[in-house]
Amino acid sequence: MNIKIPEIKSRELINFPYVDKAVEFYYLENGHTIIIANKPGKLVNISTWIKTGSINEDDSITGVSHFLEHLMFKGTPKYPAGEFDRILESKGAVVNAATWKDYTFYYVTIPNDENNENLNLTIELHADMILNPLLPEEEIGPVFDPENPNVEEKRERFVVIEEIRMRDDNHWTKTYDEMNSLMYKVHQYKRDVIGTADVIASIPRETIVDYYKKWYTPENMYTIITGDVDAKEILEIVRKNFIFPEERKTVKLETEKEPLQTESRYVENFKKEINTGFLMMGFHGPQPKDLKDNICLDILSIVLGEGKSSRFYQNLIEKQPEQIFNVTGTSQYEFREGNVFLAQGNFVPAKKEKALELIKNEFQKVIDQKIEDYELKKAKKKLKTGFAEDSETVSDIGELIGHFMTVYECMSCYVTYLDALENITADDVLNAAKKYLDLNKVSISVLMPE
Amino acid sequence: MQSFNTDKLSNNIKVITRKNPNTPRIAINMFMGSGVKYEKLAGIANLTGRLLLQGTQTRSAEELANELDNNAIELSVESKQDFLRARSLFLNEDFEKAVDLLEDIIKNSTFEHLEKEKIKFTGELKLELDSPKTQAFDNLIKTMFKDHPYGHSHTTILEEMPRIKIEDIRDYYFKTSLIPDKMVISVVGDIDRGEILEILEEKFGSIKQLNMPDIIVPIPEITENKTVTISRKDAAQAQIVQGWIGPAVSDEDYPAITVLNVILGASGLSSRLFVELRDKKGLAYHVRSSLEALKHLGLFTVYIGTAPNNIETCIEGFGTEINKLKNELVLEKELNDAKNNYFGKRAFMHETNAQQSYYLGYYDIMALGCGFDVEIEEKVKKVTSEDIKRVANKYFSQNSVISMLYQLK
Repeated sequence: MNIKIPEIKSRELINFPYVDKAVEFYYLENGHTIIIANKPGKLVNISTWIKTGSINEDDSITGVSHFLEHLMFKGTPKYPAGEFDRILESKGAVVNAATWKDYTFYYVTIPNDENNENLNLTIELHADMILNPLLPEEEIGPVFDPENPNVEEKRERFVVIEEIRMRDDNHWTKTYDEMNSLMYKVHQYKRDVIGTADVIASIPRETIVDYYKKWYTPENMYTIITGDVDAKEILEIVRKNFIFPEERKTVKLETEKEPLQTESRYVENFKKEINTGFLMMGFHGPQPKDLKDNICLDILSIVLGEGKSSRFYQNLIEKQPEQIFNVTGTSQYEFREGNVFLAQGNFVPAKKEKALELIKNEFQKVIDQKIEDYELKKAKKKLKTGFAEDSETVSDIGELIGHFMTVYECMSCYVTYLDALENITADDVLNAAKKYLDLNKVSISVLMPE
Repeated sequence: MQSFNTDKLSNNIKVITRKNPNTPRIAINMFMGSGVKYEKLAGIANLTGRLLLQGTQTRSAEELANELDNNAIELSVESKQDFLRARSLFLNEDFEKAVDLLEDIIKNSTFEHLEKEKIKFTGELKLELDSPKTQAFDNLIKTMFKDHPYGHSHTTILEEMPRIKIEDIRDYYFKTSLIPDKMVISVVGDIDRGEILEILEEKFGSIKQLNMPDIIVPIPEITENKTVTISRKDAAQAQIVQGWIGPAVSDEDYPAITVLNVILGASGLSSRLFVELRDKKGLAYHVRSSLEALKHLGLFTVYIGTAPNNIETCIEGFGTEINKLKNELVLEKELNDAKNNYFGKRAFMHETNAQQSYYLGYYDIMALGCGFDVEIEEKVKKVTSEDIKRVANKYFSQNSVISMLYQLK
């Protein structure tokens, strides 16, 4: 076993608008990145983001990124299953993990003490979990037929299948998943992150281990510490603990190129015993790094659908003589290989046609006419306030950095965003609306009562 | 936890302040000690809260929304069982503007768009009830708190809302809510106490005092163990929630049941329910217990979402874990771990100005005093294994209600 502590290749300092000291980025020789952000207060947040998610999957292993995330908590040679959770939660930690299309991350938020005992212990346990998972067969559980789930040993496969079932009962999730598969025909983003019950019930342990070894490489990893910490000291502790048990070379991820969508797509599904209708509309957006277009869509999201002053709320809910929509909203989902601009609404089922007409009309208006000056001003103020909001807790700062490193692959974009924002004009926003929010390129998913 | 100050405006409104230097946003929470329990018909409190954001004598709802959003000022109103709360959060530079807007909605709301608001609220409640989990909890509340001021669930609101008139809203607001003796304003952020007091006195110090009518909130009696079931053809999972009446937030049993809750099902990934029902038996993704401590009593629940063929195993599993708490003393280590878990979670729940401002005001409006936010730590430290066994026997020996929702075959 190689016990050499990886050397530091380079260091970078980046000033965040609402973080007191410059955030320190350390790039190690083996490719691992360690990031330390100072935030006064009692809590520290420790996380590692791995640049792998459903984008790294194909049909035969759909859902493996997320299943692996569950299994990472099932013990190491040093700490058997359950110990990680028990030890850290008994010290007041909040422990969890999440998987999305472009990344998987594991985090611990814990109150620190004067001697850094909690912090040091957390780093040790966290690094051990990331680097030495056993992924034990007995915790994964035997392969079974999901149509006939009468096995004695119900283990983690069943937990994930219950999670799938839980999502089936969430109507927004259903509507989103259907929209998502409408938007992508070939690109890896077409698959649901959670995967399918068939694969989860049958995927062999070896396949999961192979996936782990292939993608959990130092080059794909970003370890972030946020809190009232001595950067120098913590850097050494993280380096000492993050010694990979074997060399893991990073393979370049090859993705399918999604052909440009040139037509509108529509799908309608049905569910028994619901009383309202669900609607989601998705447009292919810019790459996150394409800052100008990205910001324009953030502005359009605020103008169209965020808050009670938004056009959706005012025009689709407040000013309608009869109830059409119950709730409305917009957001931009950021993905490494192309964002999605999303509009959503819940409506009175008998008014489906009217609902679709009204919401499309709002999109047509931002394509036909520039947004008003006060709307642009409002959006800029809200986006700037968002920077303060994103820096309020140690976990917010950790997530912000992890997101930028794995999705933008560009941390300086976070800082240049504010400068770029200042210079955006209503004409820029109009151009972006024309380019991306074209109703001839929209994917619409509707869920109706049966 | 840092210190705080308490002061009174000239009309007796209590003001709690804490200065947190170098924080970009200020949080204001204004509590009124009325809450859902004061409403004559289910829905009055929520509609009042909503209508507070629907226009004043000088600002239409749209103008109000524009002014708030143009300044990125968050302003919302929440109606809970024991209080009505207006919450505002904004950049330091917008303090005056935010207080201006808060003053306007608190003093000059017209409440005139009641019928429109009823329609909007009905739509939102229907959307929420489309969630099987929400529906199962709704049925639990309705069954446990039938004809009780704490029993105004979504479906009860849908039934009673059509009968609500604008006078009901005005009476509720002006005669039982806007009463300085029963109001607390809590402000946390990078701002001086003197500046806060000066502006709050100017804006709210002249609200007239009224006598608040007393209200009696009885402890509901659950006369037998009951199971209520809703069948839904579209449900993939079975929803199971079991509820007991627990202690009020002011009860001496509150610290012990708080620790019990952590041990049983609220610590995260290491609670007994999580380990036994999820890790070892693979029955669920989501399983937990929770404690809602209200002013006059508490609601203790255990919840699981599972496959329909696991219902019996899960209910048995709940029973096993509850009985263990009743019959066996929790070992010292597990007890201490649970306490530390609670202290850590508290730090986590007190990280932002908004959270700190909420808790300072919350304990005060619950008649425990804002200092309780610190005192509770000492009380939790003193909880013993015997205390846990005693409260387990006291509360879990009472009758309970099980609410289930699944696809009946």
